[in-house]
Amino acid sequence: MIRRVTFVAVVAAGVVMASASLAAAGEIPEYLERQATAVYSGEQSVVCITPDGRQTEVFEVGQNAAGVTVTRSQSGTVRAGHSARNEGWDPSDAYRAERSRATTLLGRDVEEISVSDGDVVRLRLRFDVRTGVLLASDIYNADGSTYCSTRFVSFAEGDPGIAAGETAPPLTAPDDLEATSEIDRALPLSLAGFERIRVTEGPQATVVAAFYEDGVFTFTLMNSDNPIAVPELEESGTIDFDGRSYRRAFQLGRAVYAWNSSEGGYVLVGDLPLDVQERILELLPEPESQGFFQRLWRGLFG
Amino acid sequence: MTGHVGELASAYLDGETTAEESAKVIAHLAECASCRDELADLHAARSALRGLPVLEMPVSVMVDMGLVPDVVPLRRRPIAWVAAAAASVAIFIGGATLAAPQTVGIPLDDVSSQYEQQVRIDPGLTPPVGVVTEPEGAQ
Repeated sequence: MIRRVTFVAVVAAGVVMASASLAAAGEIPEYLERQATAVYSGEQSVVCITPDGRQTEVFEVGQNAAGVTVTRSQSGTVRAGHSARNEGWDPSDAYRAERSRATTLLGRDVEEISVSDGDVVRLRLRFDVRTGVLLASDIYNADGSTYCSTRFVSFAEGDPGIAAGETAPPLTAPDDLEATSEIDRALPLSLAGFERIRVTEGPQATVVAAFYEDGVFTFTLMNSDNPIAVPELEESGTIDFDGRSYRRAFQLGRAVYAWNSSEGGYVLVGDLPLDVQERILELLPEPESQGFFQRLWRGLFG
Repeated sequence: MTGHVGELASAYLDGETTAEESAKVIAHLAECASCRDELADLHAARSALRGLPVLEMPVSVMVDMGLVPDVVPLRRRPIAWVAAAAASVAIFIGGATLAAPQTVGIPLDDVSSQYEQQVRIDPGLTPPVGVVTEPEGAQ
């Protein structure tokens, strides 16, 4: 009898947890859709903690029917923000969303949703219940440390008075290059749970760029048959992962890696947490020094 | 000297006789016409032999006879060979350098722009920190 009660309790708990998880997963796209049409303004701070140090910036954000603008508070430069996601949220199977708690932020009711990758909490999102705007978020590394955080430090509903010309023009997807076996070899269709969304021409001739996402994080991987150098990274030091040496730099909310391999030159840029960066790099052709005679040999014999 | 010059004739022509032997030969030749003729014939024969051309013995024969230990290759004009080899290497490296792939430089701003453009079309769930793009006409 006790066993039967225990079994029923476990099943019931599982059903409740699964329902909560499904509910939370369903709420995220709903919040995102409402956020896309919200009319508001506020100040948002962004803090990222990288191995190279802490990076901080404050943005003034405003949105109305004309679009969204983001002003860098430190430089005063007015820039248009991204087009907010208003489609369904489609994460990879590895992720699970759960409603954590209802709380308040800046005197407003918020709902906190955690997104986990297995046992690792990767994201904690706090949506404004009334407008759907993401008021705060935290991105975590696998060891539980924080990689990046965003917080609205002030927030107000109402029209910020953005004119149509102040926002960025609508973007259309660039032409997808026809996939070839050579592209698939250098830029795999999937990498550690990330799917290749499209392959386009890179910023320079001979460079192709593939964009990947797993529904939560995103990155772009560039490849060329020729060696690649990012001049700003040449002055920075190198980072070693198990004897593999890369050039690396952090920008606010993203990491950039550059290296040369037997498959040509590579650049990776994305918003991945630190351990995910390393996991992706492990799956790609490893760096090798391109000495003069090696390049000479490749030039002659491929 | 009691007899004819005999074997001393050859030694005398070679200058290998002692002063006493030479004096005896000279004294005998003054009295003996036969020995003078013999000495003249011997001198003529030697002169004829010295006038013949000298032939060099083939190296293989000398090796077979054990006269030399082995054949040593002769070095002929080494500077010309070195110059030719150096020119070949220079041409090879020059051609290979032209054929070697050139490094593609991508400024960091271009790397970021490429990524931001993609994120604006397909954002992940992470907040768009730092993902901002210039609107038309903005500074």
